Amino acid sequence: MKIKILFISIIFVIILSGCKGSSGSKPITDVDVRQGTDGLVMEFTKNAPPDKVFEDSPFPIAMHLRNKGASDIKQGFLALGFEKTYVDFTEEKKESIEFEIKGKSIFNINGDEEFITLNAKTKKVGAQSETHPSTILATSCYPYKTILGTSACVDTDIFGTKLRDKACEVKDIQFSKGQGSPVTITKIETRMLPSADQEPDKVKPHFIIFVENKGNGEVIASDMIKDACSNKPLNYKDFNRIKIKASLSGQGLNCNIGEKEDGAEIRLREKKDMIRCTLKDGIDRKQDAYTAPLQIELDYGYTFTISKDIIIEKILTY
Amino acid sequence: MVKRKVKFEILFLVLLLIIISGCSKLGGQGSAKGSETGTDGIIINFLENNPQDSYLVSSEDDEPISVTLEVRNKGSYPRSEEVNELSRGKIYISGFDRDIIRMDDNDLSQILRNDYLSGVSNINPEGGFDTAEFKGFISPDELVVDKYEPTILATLCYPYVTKASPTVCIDPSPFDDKQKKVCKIGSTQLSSQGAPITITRIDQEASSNKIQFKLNIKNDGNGDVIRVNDLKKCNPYGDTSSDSETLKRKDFDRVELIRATVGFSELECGPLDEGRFIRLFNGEGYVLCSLDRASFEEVKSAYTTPLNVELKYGYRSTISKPIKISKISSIS
Repeated sequence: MKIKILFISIIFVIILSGCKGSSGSKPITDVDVRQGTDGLVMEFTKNAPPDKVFEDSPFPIAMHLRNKGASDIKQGFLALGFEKTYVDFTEEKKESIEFEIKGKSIFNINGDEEFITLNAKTKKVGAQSETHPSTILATSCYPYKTILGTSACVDTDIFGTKLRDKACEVKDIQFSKGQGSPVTITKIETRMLPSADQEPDKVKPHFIIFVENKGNGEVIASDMIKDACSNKPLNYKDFNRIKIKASLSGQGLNCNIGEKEDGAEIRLREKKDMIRCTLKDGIDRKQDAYTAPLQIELDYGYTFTISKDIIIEKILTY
Repeated sequence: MVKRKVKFEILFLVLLLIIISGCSKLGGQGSAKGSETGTDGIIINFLENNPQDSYLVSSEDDEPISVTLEVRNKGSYPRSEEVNELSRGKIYISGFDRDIIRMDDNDLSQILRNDYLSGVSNINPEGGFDTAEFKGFISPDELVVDKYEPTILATLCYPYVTKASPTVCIDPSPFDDKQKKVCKIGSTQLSSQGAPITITRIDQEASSNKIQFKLNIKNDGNGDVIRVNDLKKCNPYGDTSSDSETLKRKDFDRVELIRATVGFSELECGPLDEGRFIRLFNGEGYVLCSLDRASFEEVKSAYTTPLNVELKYGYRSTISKPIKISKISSIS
């Protein structure tokens, strides 16, 4: 019996001696904050508003706003919607409340949050009813950015005739994890185009960028953000408009081929679209393949609405 | 007593197991490696942490970067009596955006220093050694993305020479079976010659008026063979001088036959591209050389003699290392 124990212990010691403990340390800066498909996340705090409210009495509405995306929100707006016959603010309020919340960064990997509290007041339910169900709506409208920085391969050897090892290979790049924003770039297809006749010794990198709205809200034009949180009417053309800027190695890409160079725009259809961007100046064919930084910036407004049902109860007296 | 014996036996076995598992094979110290063997020429490797696997760049300051390569001559060229032409060779670095990773003086290539790169010999069994250092900095201003992941490619192009002197049989009467001979005409398998291009086999065939030699050669290294005069086309940027071109398909797989002699007699060889180049197909090639009977007609019986072959070529090998550059912004 003792021999058995001795034998097992020795084997155990041998196995243990072969083990290497992991340090478990991760570089503090090695945090990719540009991940996920959330932007602003908003919810009613518990019991504000309460599920049941007596008529003709004040009650609090508290909103918990968290910026779970990687873009800072400046000049965001929050608008509350009531059934005006039964609920209203206790005092005169503006149409919408402005807010600012910083997004995720390597110094604040969770993003900032904000609480907005308002006081509302119920009105009389009416003689014929004991209760009245109502809904409180909260709509946020805010500017947001999707920034994607990636490395793209620039290979001037379009037909693969150069016989040499290459530093990189031109291929499609998929982005399944999002970029820390509700509108995400899902895929980039890279093509190397032969330059036009006037520059036969050059190739032009060409990128097909696929964009998708993966959030629960709607994309609006960045100049219509305030209007979206007001009682002003919006045109259908104000929705699904995204401005795009792209650069390769710091050189701007032309994303509006055949049209004006600045102010390239994407129009989402069924939450998706794609755009083609090309480097204006070609790259010398003699240059070998190299990896270049590709940056894409999408600029848009975003809006979404949450709601909570409440019941307004009549105060019954004998 | 028996129990104790069993205990000891088990303990002994376990100890033996531990000792064996800790043992590594010892190289025989006495077995000196031949100086003209192996299939390496000049090899390069990134020095550890040069470049680093990852860099953190703050938005205010340039971050220094150093790409250092160990250069080792593992082959047998140049021998002491040979002209050292290795200074025609160059190391290039590429694969990254030159606006982001800026090398000092825009220096993206270095000439091989032939003084340090002598071939493997009996007095220098490890071969020559040198380092090539490329220093520069990462410019944060040009880094527009948070993370940039280029692959640093180091390309070495150099001239090299393969020499072999196998013993071949010269038989003036190859079809006379009755005579006792010291050798017979046939094939000779060769070992490596301390160079990436190897003469693998020599097939011999005799007719009544000549002896033919088929010299089979092979690219046994990991790189590409290029015409020795086209080394300057190796530049991955192809823009340093006005006459520079990039390598074309026809510049590859050409090995120059410098010399093929039997004794003092020069062999007549073919087929040769442009009169001097042996072509390789899928890394292998051959040349047929013949020795006229006039060269050995005075000899009455078979004899052995060295067949001296010298090949010259350009060789290109590439290594790569992926790096990661992360840009951090300061708290302020």
